[in-house]
Amino acid sequence: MTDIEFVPVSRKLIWVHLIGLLIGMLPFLVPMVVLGVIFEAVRPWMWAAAAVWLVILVWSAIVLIRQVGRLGYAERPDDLLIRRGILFRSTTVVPFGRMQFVDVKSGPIERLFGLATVELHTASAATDASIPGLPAAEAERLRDALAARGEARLAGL
Amino acid sequence: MTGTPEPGLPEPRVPEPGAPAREVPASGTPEPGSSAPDFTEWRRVHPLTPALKSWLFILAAIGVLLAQSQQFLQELVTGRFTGTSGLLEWLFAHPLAVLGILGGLILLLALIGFLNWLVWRRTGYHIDDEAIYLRKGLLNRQLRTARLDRVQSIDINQPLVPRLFGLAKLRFDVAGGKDSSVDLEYLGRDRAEALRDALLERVRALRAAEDSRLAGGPAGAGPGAGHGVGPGTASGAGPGGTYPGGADRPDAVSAGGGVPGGPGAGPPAAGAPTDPHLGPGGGPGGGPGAHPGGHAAGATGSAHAPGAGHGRASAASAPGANLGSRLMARIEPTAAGVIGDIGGTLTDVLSPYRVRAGADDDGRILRIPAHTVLLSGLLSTGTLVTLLFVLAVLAGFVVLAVLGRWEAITGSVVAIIPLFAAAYGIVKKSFDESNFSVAVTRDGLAVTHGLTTTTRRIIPLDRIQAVRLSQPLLWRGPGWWRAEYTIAGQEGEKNSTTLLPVGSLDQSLMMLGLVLPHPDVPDGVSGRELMVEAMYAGPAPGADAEPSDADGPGAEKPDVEGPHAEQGNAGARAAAALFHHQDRASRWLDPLTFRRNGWVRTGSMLVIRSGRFDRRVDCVPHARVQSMRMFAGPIQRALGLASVDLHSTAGPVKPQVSHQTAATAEEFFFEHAEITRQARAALDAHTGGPDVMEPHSGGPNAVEHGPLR
Repeated sequence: MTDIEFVPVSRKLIWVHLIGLLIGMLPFLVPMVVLGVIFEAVRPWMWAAAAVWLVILVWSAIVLIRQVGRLGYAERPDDLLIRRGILFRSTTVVPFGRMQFVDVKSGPIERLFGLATVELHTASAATDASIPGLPAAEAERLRDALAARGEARLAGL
Repeated sequence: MTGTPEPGLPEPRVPEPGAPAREVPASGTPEPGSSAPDFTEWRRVHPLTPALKSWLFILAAIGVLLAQSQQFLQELVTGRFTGTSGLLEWLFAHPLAVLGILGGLILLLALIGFLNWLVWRRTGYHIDDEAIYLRKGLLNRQLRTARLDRVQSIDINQPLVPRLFGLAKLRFDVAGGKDSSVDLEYLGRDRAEALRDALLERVRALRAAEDSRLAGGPAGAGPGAGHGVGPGTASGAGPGGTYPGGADRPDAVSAGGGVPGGPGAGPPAAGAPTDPHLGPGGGPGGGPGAHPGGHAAGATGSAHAPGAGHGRASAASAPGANLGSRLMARIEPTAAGVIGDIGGTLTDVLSPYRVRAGADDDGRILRIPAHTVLLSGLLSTGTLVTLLFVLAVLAGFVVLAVLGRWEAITGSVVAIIPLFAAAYGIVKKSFDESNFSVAVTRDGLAVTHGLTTTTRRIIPLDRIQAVRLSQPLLWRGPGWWRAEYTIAGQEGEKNSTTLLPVGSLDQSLMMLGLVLPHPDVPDGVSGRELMVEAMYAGPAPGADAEPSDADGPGAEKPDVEGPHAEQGNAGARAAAALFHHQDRASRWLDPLTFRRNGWVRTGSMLVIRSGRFDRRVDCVPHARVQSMRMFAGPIQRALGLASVDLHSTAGPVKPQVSHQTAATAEEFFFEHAEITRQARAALDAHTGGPDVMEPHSGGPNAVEHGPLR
């Protein structure tokens, strides 16, 4: 593991994740602020809740940023390794000979930063091999490389 | 289609150094068949597609809108809202409102149309020599690439609404989990059919090219003898052609997998069967004398291995094929006359498990009577819980009756209904699996089961991915086990995965052995000892007793008695020593199971033992592992542990090597990646891949895939 060079994903993915986090968490903040402003009785509670919200936000942001730092992939001759996770660390290996199809996906925020996600699928639904935060060109290259590499025949399926 | 935001995709053609010219006409051009139309540009689907795909949503939206404005509309009509006597009058008085409403409607339609157009413009497909590309999605864009040689089948679907418009969906099935097909939706029916035919043609051409490349490829890689007879035996042995090169070429893997030298590589020394695995030990008993025996078996159409003793040796050198395939190959050629001897052949094939087996006149090798299955259903944990619940309810009734609260009883009778449902479920399952019998037929292992309606299915020996043995707590008394398998298949294929609903140790070992490759365990340990250790974590209760059932006429005695008993004990100890256990640090995470959980890697598969009260054993052949994931959560990392998941196809088996030390897990992970790679290569060299659309008539020759790897 130590001798494997993992290619990191783009740092821009941090912004994609942060924006996503904010979009996900804002709906919780709004009622707190509204209630806190309108009703004097619950105001301290609401402010406390908002503080908790802020702590969660900051903590999630830190984890997200570190996650992006750890996210990486390595193309080996016969398989692809994907490393991810800060709290829950994992390394996934997907043999090219087992690859069924490849998806390249990009959501609106990702596209804003020129990023895309490459997802590998095997015959197992449990395979969780997606690499987010690849620059579009790199995603294309990887897609082509993967499609070409799936050369081995699918014996045993 | 130029003008789309995405540039045309480059052709991912793979250079094939040294490979002979493909049989495809006009090789090098993107068209494999001269008559095949060209799909290399981005094509569009039918313009109505987005609307048709979201028609339900649009309809729902309109419905909700109408429901919401019902009050308003009513008031409008009755005139209360406008203060006049009726809607029409009000409308006549306010022509601008009419315009506004009409304009709004038109705007809405235009918006829908515009969105439809935008989505349609993004949706497209294109097919080149290698793969099919499908792109879709407006906000969340997606481009799916599936290699044509991965496509398992091509169907045309016509859902109701598209059918009204004469449209159809072309579905490329790719093995995978949920949402794992490439759907071209929607195309005109005629176009879909034309496209399907053209693509089937293309995929076949691709396969044929691949086969001819395999067959006519560099011949130096195969040992001379095996190579010479290879094609002849393949066509002679397999009229069904289901197991091309599986069992009748016992020397192929050791040549192809073990010596990736490619062209010019000399035949490996016949006296040293090259074991393609990193696993401990080589093939048991694979000596200089035994290996030529395997050759001979291949040359004579593999009717019977000359000398039963060679069975194991030849088996050991073909790790990819499971024992069942081997059994079929040995029985097939003389199907008419051999029936009486199936038992002997079976016993011979299953020799690593030391199971003695026999067959009756119909070729049935296993039969589970209905009452056993019903009883086993009653002894399941689910039944136990249900029973306790029933007792509780009855006790409640008694108490209520004593208190004289009859009305409460009538009220709570309703609570019994789910009980009936549960009981029905158990009984139905038992009925379905009753009269379970397995027969050796020309098609393969045929399973018949069912009390009221009899179901017959063929166990797809070449598609089995993993096997799980399990024993619920209450089955320990009778010593029963249950066996299930996962297979690779298309989504929605909801066939039973029961290999054995209930059976004794010997019966379960027999079924397990038939669907798995040769266990390929190190010397000094038999497959049986290994599996018993995996199942019981110790000697089986009454291990040396006579196996009680699964016997037929002509069955031989297993050699577990007499002088072998001593050796058996040693073997059992050796088997126990093979198991890797969880790290001690995991005793806080798995207080009950950490002693019992363990794994062994043999030359051909991974055996995982788990469970405390409900015992489980998972067996995953190396060649069938899809992908793997090593992971560690925060608690695991605090304890210095990590686990590895082996991903198999969807089914009852979810193998996991849990809670090893981080270093062990990492070592296992990378080592296993390499081992599975080699096992895949060996299996690839053996079989021609999954030809679902067109079974092989003969097998491709067993030559390594080429110098690419």
